Amino acid sequence: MPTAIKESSPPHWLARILAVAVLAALALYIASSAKPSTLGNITEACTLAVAAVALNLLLGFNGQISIGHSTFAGLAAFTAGYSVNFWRWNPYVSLAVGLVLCFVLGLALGLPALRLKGPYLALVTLAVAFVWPTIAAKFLDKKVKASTLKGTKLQPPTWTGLTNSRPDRAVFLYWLAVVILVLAYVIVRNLRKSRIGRALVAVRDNETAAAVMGVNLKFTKTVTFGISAAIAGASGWLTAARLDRLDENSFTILNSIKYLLALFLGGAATLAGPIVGAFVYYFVDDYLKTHAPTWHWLPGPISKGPVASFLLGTIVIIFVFIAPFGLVGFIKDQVRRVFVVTPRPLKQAVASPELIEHTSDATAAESSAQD
Amino acid sequence: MNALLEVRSLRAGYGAVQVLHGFDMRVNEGEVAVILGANGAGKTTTMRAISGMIQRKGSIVFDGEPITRTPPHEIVRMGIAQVPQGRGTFTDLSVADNLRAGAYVHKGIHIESDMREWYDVFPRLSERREQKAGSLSGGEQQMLAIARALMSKPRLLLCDEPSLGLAPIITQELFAILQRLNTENGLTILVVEQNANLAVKIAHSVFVLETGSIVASGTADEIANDDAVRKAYLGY
Repeated sequence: MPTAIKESSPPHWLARILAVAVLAALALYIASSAKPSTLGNITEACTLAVAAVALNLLLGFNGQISIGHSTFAGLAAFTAGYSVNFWRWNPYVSLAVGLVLCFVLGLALGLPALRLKGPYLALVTLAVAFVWPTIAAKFLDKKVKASTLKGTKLQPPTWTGLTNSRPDRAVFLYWLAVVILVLAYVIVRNLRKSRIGRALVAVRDNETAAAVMGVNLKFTKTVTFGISAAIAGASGWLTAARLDRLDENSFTILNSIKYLLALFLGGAATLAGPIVGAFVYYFVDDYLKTHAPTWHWLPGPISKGPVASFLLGTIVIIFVFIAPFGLVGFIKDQVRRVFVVTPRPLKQAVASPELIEHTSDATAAESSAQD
Repeated sequence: MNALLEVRSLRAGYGAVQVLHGFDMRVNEGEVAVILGANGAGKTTTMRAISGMIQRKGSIVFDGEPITRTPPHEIVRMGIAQVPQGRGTFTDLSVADNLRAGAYVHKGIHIESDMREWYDVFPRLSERREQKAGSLSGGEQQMLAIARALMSKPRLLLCDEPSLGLAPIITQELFAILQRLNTENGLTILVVEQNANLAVKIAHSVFVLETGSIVASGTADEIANDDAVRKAYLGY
């Protein structure tokens, strides 16, 4: 029998506080001890995680698929690169403007999403992801291509005590990525736990029922698309902050597929899923890319050609069979065998029989008044 | 009697296909009204037309206000709640969150006390309040769908075939609860049903719908004594 923990009881709170403390300590420890290259990897994983969190809001909670999220990341990245290099904008202003642009483009893409569902919506967003590199190439000359936020443009503020040296920059970008990831997580978490979040899931589970409960379908679906697009834009801005150069192939459909993979590996429609998935995906991919080509024990045809992608694909297929609800779903199932969180007891509803009487009296009085 | 819902020459359908061919209907405040009809008669379409889910022509007046052009999310705010056919519970949300979602149009703090009120009426929902709605039995899901609709504090409850796919004993329990909501809470209810026997028992007025037109209407007694209707729908 699993041990029962009451919701919001001291042990439950203790477990929550402990989890946050461990994560915070881990983040600090990494910042102080990791090599710049490792920090760079973690920053990249965080960037992927932000995009996966964005997609989770749209696909996991609202049930709208998008294979076009790479476009939003690209839009924000190029907006930042262009405005900072050619108009001398503050990098953070370029972030804000990029997010607004992504939100608007997301709203616009949300409009066809009102009529299209599932594979059809996937097709439309796929087309957008396909078109984006061409559009990007048209509008970018060589100078713009090379312009990211790298170098002197995005510097650690002086109060951090960090200089603009390579190791210090790595630490700065790492914290920037962590902060944006935490913000994205908190935004999606608070949305999910609120009245709006219940409406999102309601729309996903049953549109008709959601509509007859008073949820405005058009508004909910388009605004969700917009918010998700803006969060994906934050991920694109982080990419622009980290890379030396961007070109039209920096944000292709492959990026969108990565976001999807990270989301489903971690567990769609769970809050932690996209983050766990992004980190696992990134580091497994990274590990395979560096090590797999040297594994000579692999049978002949496999060891030739792109071994890493082959192995990664195989792992994903096996994983989906073992844990169809993602890593977080899998872990939750295991934890449930040891601990279960039982709901808070209802406050004793002493007043409720009176309440019912009261309501009926009121309604009766109302109807007799109208008679 | 005060008409809460008044429908005049209602026409509605899907795209080029017209399903409802213009009928009149009136539901008085504090009544249980039942629409009987076979598959394809237009029962669900009538419900969808009233709750604003489809394009409709003619006139629908709720509590003196025309709602023929009002979008569904505003109709809910005016006091019409619909229990959709096939329950439509949000399977991935907990029972409690389903109820909270039902109170979407109310941002107030009364939500939790309203929930306790409906937990008293549906004790099994209270036992399962933290379970996902998808894990409930069909009967429990139907109860949940009704409780969820009630969370919006409606003056008119539309129930679309509540007996669909339920065991006879559960259906009886369900109709007993609907009747209780009517007599004790003074709720006006419009039920669409194929299960005529049970529905007519709790009804004040009955409408018989055939291929998009009302072919007979009257009080429950009148309909129960109408030979043609009795043969077709009550089976004796």
